[in-house]
Amino acid sequence: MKAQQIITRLNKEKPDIRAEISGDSAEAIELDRAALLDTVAFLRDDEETSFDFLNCLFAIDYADRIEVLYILHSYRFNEQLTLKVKLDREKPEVESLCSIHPGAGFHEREAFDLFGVKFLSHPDLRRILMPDEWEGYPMRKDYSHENLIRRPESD
Amino acid sequence: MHKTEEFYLNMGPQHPSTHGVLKLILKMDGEQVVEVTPEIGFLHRSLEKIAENRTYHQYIPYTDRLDYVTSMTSNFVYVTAVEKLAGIAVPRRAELLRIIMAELNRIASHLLWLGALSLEAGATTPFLYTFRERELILDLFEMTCGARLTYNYMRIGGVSQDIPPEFRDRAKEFLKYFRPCIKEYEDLLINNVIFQNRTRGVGVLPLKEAVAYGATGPNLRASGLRWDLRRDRPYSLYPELEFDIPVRQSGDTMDRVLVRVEEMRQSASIVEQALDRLEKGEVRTPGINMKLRPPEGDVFMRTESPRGEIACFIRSDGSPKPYRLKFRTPSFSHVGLLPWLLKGMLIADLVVVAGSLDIVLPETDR
Amino acid sequence: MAIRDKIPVYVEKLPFGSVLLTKTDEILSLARSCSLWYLLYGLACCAIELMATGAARYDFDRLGMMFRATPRQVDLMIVAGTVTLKMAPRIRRLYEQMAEPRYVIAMGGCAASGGPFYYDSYSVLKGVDKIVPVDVYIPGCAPRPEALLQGCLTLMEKIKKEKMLSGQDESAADNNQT
Repeated sequence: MKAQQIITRLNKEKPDIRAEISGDSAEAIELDRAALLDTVAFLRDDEETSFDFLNCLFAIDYADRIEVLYILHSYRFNEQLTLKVKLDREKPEVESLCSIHPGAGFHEREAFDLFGVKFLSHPDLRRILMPDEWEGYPMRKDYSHENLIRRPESD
Repeated sequence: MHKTEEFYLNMGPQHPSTHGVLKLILKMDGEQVVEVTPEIGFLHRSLEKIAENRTYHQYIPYTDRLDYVTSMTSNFVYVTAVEKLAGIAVPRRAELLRIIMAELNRIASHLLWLGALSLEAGATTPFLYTFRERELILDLFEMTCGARLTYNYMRIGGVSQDIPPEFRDRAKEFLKYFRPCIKEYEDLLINNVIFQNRTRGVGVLPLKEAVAYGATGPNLRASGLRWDLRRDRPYSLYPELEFDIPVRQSGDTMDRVLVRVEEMRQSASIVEQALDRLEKGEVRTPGINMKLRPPEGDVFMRTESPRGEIACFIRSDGSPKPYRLKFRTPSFSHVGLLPWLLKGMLIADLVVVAGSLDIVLPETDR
Repeated sequence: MAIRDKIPVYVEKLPFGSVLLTKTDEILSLARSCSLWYLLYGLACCAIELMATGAARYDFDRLGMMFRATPRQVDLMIVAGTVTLKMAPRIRRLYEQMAEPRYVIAMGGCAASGGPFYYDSYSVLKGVDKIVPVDVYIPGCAPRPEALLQGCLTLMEKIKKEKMLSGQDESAADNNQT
């Protein structure tokens, strides 16, 4: 099912969804933060979409926003779908998917650890890759630290 | 009147049985585990941050270190992703060489896993036997690209160099020698009554939980789902080759062992077929810019590594360096599966079950 | 006889056999160097080469080295792999748990100086010698098993030259204190 067909099916349930085709190898659907949980639950349970596998969940940092990408997969129909949520960079918060896809637990902790995205009602949101007492969010583009030695530009 | 108390046992980052630096905090009630909290991050080497500062070609050696047990597979997923993003074609001979190397590496990885699993079950001998065969595979790799562990063999647009003339005969000789060795491991370890009692019915992972927690690869196939990216979302020249996908139904530890042992046989058959199909040709597409500037956009390339599904997401903004590079690695999801799977188990079983999931830490922590 | 070639001895033949005179330092150093037990401490890629060196083809056991799981029973710690800031306190603690005389081999580029992760990595400690004193550095990424064996042989040569009992300046205890 291509992204457009999924949106048509979703529009029967949720009217406020815009589609965005990004790149020629992944079609992404952009969602509002408020629509995320309902959409993911619907995509998992609906007989015609059946997206039962949350493949990957990660964040991308921009100057004015943080994007969180969710890549879903359906084993039954062998289809892949990317969902995108744009968050405010000053206060990036979004609902946690742990109640729908338990496998999201570790992925969300990593996005919190490295980018600072807060996942609301996550059962155990704490740092996972960095030491517990680390300060700052290392994967953000403006991060600097005394242990982060930049490679000099040679050419 | 006696009372019991639960205590915390730390299976710390330095432990002979955890595969690398994994810390498991076990809440124990005597011998039984009540709760498991895994802690990772002891090998977090910020590979994704490094990617934002290297050109696409300069990053290839870092992908070796991503999953060092199967460097060829990690190379494979990255270069295939870049080629898909930039629209670069790969010559046929290079594709076949990549498949040969990836499948030989799959055998080597399963051999290492089997040796480590036998050490965890308490048997020291199979470790030496599997490493003996693994050394023969590493000899083949060394003949091709000069390295034993971190090969850096694949390039964007092909592979770095052609195989030497004696590779083909040596590889066929190895495959002929290897087939009876699998039978030897079965006789030595897998059909052993102690090993069977320790693994049958232990650590059962039902299919529903396997999908919900994101388990992939042999762990998923042992739970009953016939899913292999080489067959269902094919890449490279896999559609031309014939191989079976071993699937088992009950999802216990013994099934995971049997799936991987059968995969070794199938990989040997794939290498044989690919060697027969090799023809003369170039091994690298010429004329690729060293400062490659792919068009803006995303790519998400998924391939089948011995541990599961390894995928590479690259977002390019048109500059020579990636804007965001993310690896989706199988061991990350499998470590997230541990709290559910290991609950209520005896600690002796815990070690064997955690080992049967084939977790390696470098790709968990990146 | 082999021992006559390895350490300076004076052999006196007597009717019932022979008497061998040598310095206690030499005998002790020879004995210690030929039976180094190492801590199974693989962190990253170099750990696989460490395991391969202990396996059948490049046997470690013929040098008298076997692996032990606990730091209390070893005299050698081979730091094989990248050291991150999260792992560093554990390495220090393990080092302090080892009984003296103790030695450290830094195997691979990452343990020696940070390796390929020197630049642009916020979480890697640039060299294990920032937290423990290192005796032998083995370059490579990953070093071949032969390189690791040569590193161990170099360490054995270094141990043979040590004078533990004579009370001179270069005692092993002084060399291994930070």
